[in-house]
Amino acid sequence: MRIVVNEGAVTGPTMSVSWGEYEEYLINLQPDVTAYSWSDGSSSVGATNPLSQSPTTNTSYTCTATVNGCPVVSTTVPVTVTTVAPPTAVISSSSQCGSAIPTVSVTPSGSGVAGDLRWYDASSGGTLLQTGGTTYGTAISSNTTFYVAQVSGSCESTTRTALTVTVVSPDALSASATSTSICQGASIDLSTSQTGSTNSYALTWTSSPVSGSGIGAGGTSGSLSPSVTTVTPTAPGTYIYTITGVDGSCTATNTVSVTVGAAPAITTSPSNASIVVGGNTSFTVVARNTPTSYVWEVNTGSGWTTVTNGGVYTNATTATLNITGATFAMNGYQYRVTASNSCGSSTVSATATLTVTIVYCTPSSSGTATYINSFSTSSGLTNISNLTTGYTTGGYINYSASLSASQYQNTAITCNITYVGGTAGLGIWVDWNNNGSFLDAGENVYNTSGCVATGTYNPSFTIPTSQPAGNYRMRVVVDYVGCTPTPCAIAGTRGEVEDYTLTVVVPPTPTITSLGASSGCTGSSITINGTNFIGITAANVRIGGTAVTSITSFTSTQIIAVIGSGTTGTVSVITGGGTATSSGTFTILSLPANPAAPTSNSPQCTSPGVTLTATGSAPGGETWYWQTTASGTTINTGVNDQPTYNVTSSGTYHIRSYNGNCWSIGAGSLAVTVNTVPSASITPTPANSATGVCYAGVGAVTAVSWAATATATSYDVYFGAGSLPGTVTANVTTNSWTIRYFISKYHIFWKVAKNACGDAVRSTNWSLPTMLPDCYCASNR
Amino acid sequence: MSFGSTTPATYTAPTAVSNPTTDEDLGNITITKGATTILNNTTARNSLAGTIGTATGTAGSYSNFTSFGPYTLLTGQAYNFSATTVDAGNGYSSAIGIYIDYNRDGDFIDAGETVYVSGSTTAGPHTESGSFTVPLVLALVMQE
Repeated sequence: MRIVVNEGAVTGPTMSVSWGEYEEYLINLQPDVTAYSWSDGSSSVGATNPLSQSPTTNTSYTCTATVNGCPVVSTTVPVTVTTVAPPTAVISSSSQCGSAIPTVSVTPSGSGVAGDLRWYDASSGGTLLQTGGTTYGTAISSNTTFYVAQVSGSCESTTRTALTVTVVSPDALSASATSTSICQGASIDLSTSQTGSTNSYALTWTSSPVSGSGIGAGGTSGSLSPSVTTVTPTAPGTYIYTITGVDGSCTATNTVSVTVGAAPAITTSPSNASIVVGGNTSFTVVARNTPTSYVWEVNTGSGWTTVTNGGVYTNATTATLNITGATFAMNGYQYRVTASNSCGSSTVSATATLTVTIVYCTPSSSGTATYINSFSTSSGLTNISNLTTGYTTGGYINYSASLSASQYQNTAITCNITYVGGTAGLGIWVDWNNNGSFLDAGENVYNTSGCVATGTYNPSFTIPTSQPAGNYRMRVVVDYVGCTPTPCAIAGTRGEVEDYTLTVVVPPTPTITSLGASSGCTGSSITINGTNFIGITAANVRIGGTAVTSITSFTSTQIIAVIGSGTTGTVSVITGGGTATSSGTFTILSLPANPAAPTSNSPQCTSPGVTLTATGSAPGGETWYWQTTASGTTINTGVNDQPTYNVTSSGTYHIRSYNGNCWSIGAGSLAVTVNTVPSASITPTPANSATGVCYAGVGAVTAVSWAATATATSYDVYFGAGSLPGTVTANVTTNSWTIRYFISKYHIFWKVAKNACGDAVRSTNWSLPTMLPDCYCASNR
Repeated sequence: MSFGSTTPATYTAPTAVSNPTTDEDLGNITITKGATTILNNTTARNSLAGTIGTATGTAGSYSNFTSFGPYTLLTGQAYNFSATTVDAGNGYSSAIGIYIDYNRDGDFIDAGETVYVSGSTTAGPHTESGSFTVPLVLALVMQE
């Protein structure tokens, strides 16, 4: 339907429109039919529209419709009915053994061809299995009935030809192996059994893959009795062994899979590694045949040992051995590995060597005026002598490759440094732990810690006791500004650094050839004779496992030490070279106890002297002896072994106990005083036989005096003219006496010093000059 | 087997309107029979969008709504129609024509196919209505 609007008159459905519009709609015109009547030519067959009919013979149909009340008769439509016959069975049934393409077949009917055939699974409807073909093209394994129809044009036969296929199941065969996982070289027993007795099979074992399976390409015969077929695989891998039984058209198969393993084999050995000390590295091995574990070994110079995790090592049982923080001691270590799995172990890998290098800081200087002119060592086993070398440009020179000194552990080595150039600090460092640093504790073996004058210095340092044998970097520094020098930098511009090698030598193994005695007392000396006594300290000389108190002296062949309060036992001497042990034991004898301090009646005069009295008495088996020194060991039977002891001089006296072997460590001691008669007086004034002594006038002598006599408490004065008086003229407590009068021109006097213990012998006669004429002092003339 | 009408012919679009967006367009088209509405479609001026759906064609010139429907008419039956025009407000006079290709020969020029033409023009937008009867003479064919 078309509708138009036009600005102006409408003139037709296709008119030209200037202003307006067309619209179109779809109209469905339907006849106004009120009834239908269908006829097949002889009778009415339906009144619906549309009408469904299923004629079996050719038929013509006519429809009369009542349209708007009027009958409208259609054209007559002839319907041709075509009949298609099903195909004819050729082989309507068949029987087969197991899965096979069935042999049933048909032939098309009439003028049909094979392509007209349709194979179904049901007599009507069902699923179309195959289009075309006089036989079925797919193997079947169970009883099946096929229904085959035939088409002609668009028609298909209404009936289908049934074909029956009977499937007989063959007896099953089992396949098994004694083990499904074996190692190369082992054999395996394959066995089979048959379920049922319908078939009489010819049996064959085959393998996929063939190569390495132990069975040839043509297979090998199998049997049911005995059921075992032994094969020996020749290569690792997984093999599927198949047993095939053939009985006419019946075939049965089964399989068993066997995995053949093999011991690992190294395909890539670990490679050498080179790192800086303290660094990390790893060694890696590649091995085939799926290793499950690895054993790494290290040769540190004394044979191969297994590496275990810990310390620098991790992953010691894996293909990659990790080393973290390698030490310089590991330089030259060799590594190898063995890979293993359940089938065994590989041969050991090739050896890889670890190289550990040390890198040291390199100080520098530019000023040439301060330098180490000479460096040498003395007292070493071997020594450095590097003299008059002057200044090395740059301030650093490394002589370590060519100049070395050596010394035993725990033994001193003396250095001789001559430096030139102002005042400077000197220092020596040794990298005792070979870690590339001089900053570890104990590595600064010498430091002036203050600037010293140009000249020669002879510092000495001792190799640490347990320092391992080997080479160590020794650094000598002179630093003009750095009065306390450091090992890695010159503080100012002037200075020099020289590096040398210090070799620590393990002393030869010591031996003990004899002991000076087989027993001794604590505090006494033991003499040990032997060889190679080097770097001896008290801690390393032991009796019965206990260190001696001190080392009195030692040479390479003899040690004299003070016995401590140890236990009886063998004597051992430990040096860096080993431990020497005496063949016999050394007995430490028991000590008596110290006697208590004695008492006395001090002070006394020489006569009768002071009597010391022991406090208590000696225990049984011991004797107390009086001694004049605390360590005295005098034995004077009947004299100093008595309970009392008389002394006639002042001093400290001791009493010690002796048990026949040992003296007590100490003593009971007491200081006593013994007073003595004074000595004769001496040194008179006026002097003996003096001349010109005036006894009148100015300067007259009015007194005589004398030097004081020790311990004297008073003096007897005898004064006479011409001869000594028979009695004491005077007794004075001072060392002078005033002359009462001169009775002669010639006088003699003497005196006696005296104290509580008695009078001293008198002095010699002292004489004053004879005065002729009488003497008057000049000023009075 | 069935007995009925044939399938539609093919049609040629009308000549394009010279000034499609100027002045008159069709507004509402309605076909009814008694209380039953067969077709009721309204479009705005210069628009392809109708209330039954959006037409193909050229807005203001040719709106082809044949992809909607079809709208069934029975032979011999009478139907009422109304057609409304819209314009741009200029009030020009216009007329309407309605055509149905009863014999399905692809044109609207056969005898009896002019369903309605305005007897005179009418100024401005307006509605024209009337009725028509589908002719009885209609071809029927037998189809299997």
